[in-house]
Amino acid sequence: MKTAAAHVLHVDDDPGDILLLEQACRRAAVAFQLHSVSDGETAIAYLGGTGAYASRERYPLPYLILLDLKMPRKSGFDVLTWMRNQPQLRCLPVIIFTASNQEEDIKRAYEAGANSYLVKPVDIHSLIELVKLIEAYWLGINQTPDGSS
Amino acid sequence: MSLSWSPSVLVRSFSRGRNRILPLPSTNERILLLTQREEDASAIHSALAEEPGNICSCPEMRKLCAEIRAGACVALLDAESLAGARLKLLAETLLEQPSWSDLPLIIIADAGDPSGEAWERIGRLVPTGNVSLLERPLDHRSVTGAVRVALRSRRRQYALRDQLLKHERQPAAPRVSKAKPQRARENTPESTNETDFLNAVINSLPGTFYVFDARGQLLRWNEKLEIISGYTAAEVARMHPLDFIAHEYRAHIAERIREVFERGDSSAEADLLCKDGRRIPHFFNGKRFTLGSQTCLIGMGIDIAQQKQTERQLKELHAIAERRVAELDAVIESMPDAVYIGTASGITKCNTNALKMLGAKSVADLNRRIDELGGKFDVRWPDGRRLRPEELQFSRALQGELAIDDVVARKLDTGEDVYIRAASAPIMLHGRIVGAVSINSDLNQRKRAEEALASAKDQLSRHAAELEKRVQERTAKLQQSVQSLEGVLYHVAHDLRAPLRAMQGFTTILLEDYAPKLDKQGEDYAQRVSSAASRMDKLIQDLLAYGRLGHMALSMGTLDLNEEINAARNRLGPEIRARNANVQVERGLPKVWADSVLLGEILVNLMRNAITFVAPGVTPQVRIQAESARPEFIRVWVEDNGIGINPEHHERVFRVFERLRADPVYIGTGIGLAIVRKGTERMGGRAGVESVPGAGSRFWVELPAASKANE
Repeated sequence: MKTAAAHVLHVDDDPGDILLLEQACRRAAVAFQLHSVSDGETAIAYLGGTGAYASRERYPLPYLILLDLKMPRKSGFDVLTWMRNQPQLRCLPVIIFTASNQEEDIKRAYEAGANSYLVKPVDIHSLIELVKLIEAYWLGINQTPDGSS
Repeated sequence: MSLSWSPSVLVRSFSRGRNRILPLPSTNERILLLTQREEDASAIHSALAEEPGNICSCPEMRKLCAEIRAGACVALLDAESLAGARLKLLAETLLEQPSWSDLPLIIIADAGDPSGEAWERIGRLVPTGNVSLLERPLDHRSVTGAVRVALRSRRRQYALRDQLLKHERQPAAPRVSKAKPQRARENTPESTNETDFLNAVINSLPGTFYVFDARGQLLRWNEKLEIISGYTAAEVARMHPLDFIAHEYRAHIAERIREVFERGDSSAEADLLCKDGRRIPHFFNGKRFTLGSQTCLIGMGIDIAQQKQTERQLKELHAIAERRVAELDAVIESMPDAVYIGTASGITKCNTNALKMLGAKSVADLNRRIDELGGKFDVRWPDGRRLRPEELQFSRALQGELAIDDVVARKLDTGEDVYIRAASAPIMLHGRIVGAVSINSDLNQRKRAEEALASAKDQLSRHAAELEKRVQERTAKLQQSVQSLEGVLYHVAHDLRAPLRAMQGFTTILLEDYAPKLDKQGEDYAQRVSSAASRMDKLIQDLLAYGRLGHMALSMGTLDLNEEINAARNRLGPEIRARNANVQVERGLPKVWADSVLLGEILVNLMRNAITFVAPGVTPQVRIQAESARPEFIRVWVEDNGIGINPEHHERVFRVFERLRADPVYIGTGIGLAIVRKGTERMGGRAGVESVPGAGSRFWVELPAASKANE
């Protein structure tokens, strides 16, 4: 079990989805702290600790990333590819969290180094269940190499 | 001596010669008789009692022969005496007779058919020429008749003999008599003198011999003239030379005779006119010479009847040969192909087609050694290799081969190439090759047709390639647009779902977290927003599924229908339970050839359709069965007790978004049956429905039977 201070970064351009996930996390009463950014470029800035995100105290490196694919400017694939080229981010678990269930996207995501692929449920109750599962598995059961967080 | 003869003059001189008649001296007329029968002897004696001459009876053949040598006029003898050596003796005796002599023999034989033996004996005497037969019983009249005829014949022979003797006695006489008898034993003391020798020479000449003076008086001639013309010596002596010439030749011959007397010699051809009117073609010549004080013409006539006939026959043969050659030429000329005939030293005959084919002016262009012709016409194999002289078809035919090949030659006039099928064969005559014939057909037209065909093929294949390329391009473009369409669809679906999630999510939050602040009405509205969002989400998912059907990769295999239907029924479990539906599946359904995912979609949609569209309050009853439809296809029937479909809508139900019922009771996206049809078609099958409104529907899909493909 990770510490209660574990952070999860949610990258999504849809403010509705960001709000819904926040609601779901609140209702599921998860222990991790959710940070949200609204596009790939911002995500890279956050992860790289550059610009507005230079403060690791305010913007700590996450333990897990929920990454949407279809986003303006830099897509989820761009973010993922960039991450896998950063030595300190190479092993950071990334869950693709998207509306697409296209075979092509799934394959491409795994090839780019995704650790999991989840389709956003429409129903909020399903979403709450999903958030609980994510916390239980990725922040509970799953082991990651030290130093990645 | 210069005489001008005209036919009238000749006739006068001929008449003058006629007055010279020779006397015929009488002679011994002994009748010899040899018979072994007394009655023969007595019958003959009595019959000839009044005849002149005397009968000399001979007791045997030897005696008869001795009497013949001594001189006799006629011999009567019975056939019985002609046996064996006696016959031989008689034949020999007769052969010894002088040339003028042809002793009449009267053979006495039994009446009716003489025995074969008797005939054979008589036959051996026939060469002597003068044999007659006297049949028993011998009566007076037949005996005297036969003897008289024989005597008359003998007398004529005597007359001839006398004439011969007379001439021998007068060797310088102006006429020649018959020469001395020619047989060796006939030698007489006179035969040694010069005249005799001359006579012998004259008589041995192969043709007629004549000497006559300028008046046309025949001075000497030979036996041959008498024998051929049929005139006796006495008659000849009175005749003019032109009397022996057929009328139409007389003027011509008279002219030739004049030439001889004027210039010394001449010759001519003319028909000799015989006493009996026959005409025998002759070649006559004449030479002037002086006999004593007289200028005469001496000459000879040669029988050229044979030669004339030969000539005529030759002419006929020549005419036939010419006709044959003309016919052959006509045949060759009329042949549709080019025909060449010749030998190794050249072509000697050909037809116009042959000249045209090679562009030659005349056969002279071709009349050269065959190996030279090969070079002159640049004869090549179709691959362009020049034919060696011994490879030429004509040369090979001359070696006895039947040679047929396709070659190319260059035309003499235009220099164009001509494609030829050359067929040459040897010409055999009496087992020897005497030449060769070549029949060449022009392949140019065929060649041109082949080339046209090849170019047409070429063009066609170019067109085909172009078409293929265009099809590929179009297909690529089409695929691109399909892909972009799918992309659009995908984006639309994706982007549509985000607001949906928001709608549903926040409505739910509203209902749950803010329920106390909402009245009943507010709660109902929020509820409606939520369910509308749910329906829309379902719609989008179906649309995406339908879109995927068109291009998803299929993985066909043998599937057990019962298993697949069970799986589908399980997937629909919550819906079936919710509707309390009863789904019966026939056991032992056949195996089909299908894609598992696609078949699952089809079955789910068919079953969902069957349990959904039922009248309110009716328990859905579904029956699934299968049968062999058309060969190698399995038809799966899904039968329901639903509301049924009007026939005019049977096709519409399979289209996307064709919901026939606006009634919200019948929820659904209107895409299920479209998936059924499209999915079935992608697997090579088809789908349809039989239905009567109010009496349920029977939907069916046809899928390939598993046995159809390789399992």
